[in-house]
Amino acid sequence: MAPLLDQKIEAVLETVQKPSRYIGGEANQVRKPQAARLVALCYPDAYEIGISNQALQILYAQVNARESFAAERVYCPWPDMADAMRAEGIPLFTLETWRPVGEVDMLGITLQAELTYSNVLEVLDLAGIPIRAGERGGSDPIVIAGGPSASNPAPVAPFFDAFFMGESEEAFEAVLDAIDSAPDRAGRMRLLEQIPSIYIPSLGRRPVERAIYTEFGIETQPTAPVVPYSSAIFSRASVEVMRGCTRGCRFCHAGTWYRPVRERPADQVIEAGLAQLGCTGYDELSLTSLATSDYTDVVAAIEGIKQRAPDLHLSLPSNRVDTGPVALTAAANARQSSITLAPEAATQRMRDIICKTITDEMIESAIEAAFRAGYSSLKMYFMIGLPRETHDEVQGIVDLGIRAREIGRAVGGRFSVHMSASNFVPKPHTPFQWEGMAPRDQLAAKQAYMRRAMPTRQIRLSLHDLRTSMLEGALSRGDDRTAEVIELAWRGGARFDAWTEMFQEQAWHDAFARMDTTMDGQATHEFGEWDELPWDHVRSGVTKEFLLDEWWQSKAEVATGDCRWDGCVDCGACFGPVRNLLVH
Amino acid sequence: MTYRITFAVRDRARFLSHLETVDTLLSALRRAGYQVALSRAMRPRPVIALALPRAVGVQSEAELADVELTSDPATAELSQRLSEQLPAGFELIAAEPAVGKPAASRVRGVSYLIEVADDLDWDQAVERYLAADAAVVTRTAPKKADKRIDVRAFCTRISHGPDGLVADIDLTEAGTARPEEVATAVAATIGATPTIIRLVRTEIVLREAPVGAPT
Ligand code: SF4
Ligand code: SF4
Repeated sequence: MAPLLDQKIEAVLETVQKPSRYIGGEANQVRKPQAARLVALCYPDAYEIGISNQALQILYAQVNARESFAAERVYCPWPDMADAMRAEGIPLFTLETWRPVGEVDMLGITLQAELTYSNVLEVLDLAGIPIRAGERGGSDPIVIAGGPSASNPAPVAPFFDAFFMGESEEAFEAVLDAIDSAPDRAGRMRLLEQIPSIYIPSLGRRPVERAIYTEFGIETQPTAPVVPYSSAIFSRASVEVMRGCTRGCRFCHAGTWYRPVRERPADQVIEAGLAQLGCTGYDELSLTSLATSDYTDVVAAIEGIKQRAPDLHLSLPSNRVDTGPVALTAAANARQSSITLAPEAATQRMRDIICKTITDEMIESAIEAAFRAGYSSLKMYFMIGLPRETHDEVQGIVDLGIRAREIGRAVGGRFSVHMSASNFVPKPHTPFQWEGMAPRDQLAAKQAYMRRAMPTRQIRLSLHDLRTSMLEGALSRGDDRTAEVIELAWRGGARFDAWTEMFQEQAWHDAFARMDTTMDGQATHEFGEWDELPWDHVRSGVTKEFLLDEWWQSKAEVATGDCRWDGCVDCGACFGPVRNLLVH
Repeated sequence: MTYRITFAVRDRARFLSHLETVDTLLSALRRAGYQVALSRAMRPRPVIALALPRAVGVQSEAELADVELTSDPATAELSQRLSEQLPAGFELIAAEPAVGKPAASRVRGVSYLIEVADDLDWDQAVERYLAADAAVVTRTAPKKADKRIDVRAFCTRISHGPDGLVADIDLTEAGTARPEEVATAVAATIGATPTIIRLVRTEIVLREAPVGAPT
């Protein structure tokens, strides 16, 4: 007879949507029920989102590589499941062994996006772990945050015992050592305190350093990721070919947070890719990074893989706008019918402001190259609400849509253009961290204008939900008081905020109001140069002076070069072994 | 070459949907080193078909899948390599060259073990059910009109044993009955409602392939 908890879970699974989210058992899952130390790794969103996260797959392999440790996965149960679990008294459980999350040694939660913050509370509550770190006792797991959004810990600080900053591969070993070597929670916390990339909110705002993995191009990453059930958003093998990006787009958090650039040699990429295909059974391989077309060995890697696996579906996340990358994408993958370009801004003035160093000519020739290569669907990404944006910039996006259609018609054949515009949200650790978000009514007016002005024949326009963008803006640069708001909103019913159909806007407005503030006020708040920022104590490596200088450059509408090719501009990220490591 | 694969789906894996089951098989075949043939459509799809969809939550001891591989491995080799790659809850029962028309077009009936709570007189209910001319239940589905199903028209072989109800259900041109509808209809003959613990599909029965039919 199965244990009582298993029986209860099975009974509930009969009644919920997509029960495969909760069963585990996928190929390459690791099950070590006898391990002495248990770490639960959580992506606080639905299974199909979380399982596709590469960083967590790396961490899963890293923890499981230790003999005495088991890593087990957990995701945020969908509301139907969460409600059923509460009704039946089922605590949150891990996928591998269906063990209660409240019983593990450490619960690691990755913060990939601000709109998952309410789910963090949902996860803790379902696990039976006190929401606030201060209320946890000796038998509760140590709850630790990681991931890019941890770079501004303030809005979620009271909910975590510790934050891990940066890349896990080397530095997280010290965290595992701490869990392993002390017998109890208090002892483990004392050891964690001594790790430079760990921030412990209860000890005050002490400086904490982002961990950087210096062996990136030297060691090969694990090659047996868990193969999700078919509902996952990405079902493909992926090899990270390069980490970091120094293009320096001023809105981009990743462009700071993963500096400097480190590349993997093509032969490693080829071996790792083929090995992963073999052990996952995928028929698609993605060469991932922040900007794969910048990867020095990209041609060698594509050719090497094509040679060994000619029928493979190869994909490159294409963000750069240039004919080179378009040709590369076409060469990598003959089967695909759509291509994506990300100019981000449609006028030269705005591209200088945001430091996107491409020209109108480059964009137009990339569009033409895409249609000539036979792509029938062209998708282009833009942002609206960027600092100092005028009507010309918005009009520019409309004009570029029309221009793309003209080019498509001139090339001939069936095609469609998909114009997508998101709302700019200022992020910590970027040159735009001081900027406020554009007011809601302005963004709404710009969206309405684009809907009116953009022709609909052969052009599709998609615009991001303003409501969730404003919330993202209010949370991303939040402070200690934001944590109160998050808790109030979650208590008011907020969860799965990134899912438009689930978004409880009123719960958030009420929560902000109870803290005597507003969502829009927080989102549009502009910091002064001399203000202390809530994340100042988090040392990304890139100095505040550099970011400030970049902010001024943006006001002067001057773009900065990429240090990979144009020489160091002293952002502060490099020291000792930490430097741009290109393969040639 | 096309193979017919018989496999069981048990334990937690029974919560996989039809599509997830197909994908799980496909990726196991690829890990085992086989390439599944692609259809010659505009958007090529792997040539694989399960004989009958399985509702989420239903355990099966005998699922059938026809799959075309680009190679023709010996069945013993295919069985062994595929077995090694199937994830938790899946068990390979047989892999043989597929003979006759696709299994999906030849399903004649399905057998189930319907595990039920022993809180009513099932022997008497089965007796009454078998003696009745009709046993009508109402099928409800979201966004669809209710439908009345005469379960008796599809299920005449049923017994009650120590594990629950054992029922053979026919698939006809007029449709079929679901195992839970069978249990409901049987219990209704004594004015009761069944508590179903688990549904186990024990066999998928195919119509005979005509002799000499092409594979
Ligand atoms: S190219 Fe720009 S937007 Fe893309 S990762 Fe690099 S800095 Fe960020
Ligand atoms: S320190 Fe210089 S070389 Fe290193 S990332 Fe910064 S700008 Fe580039």
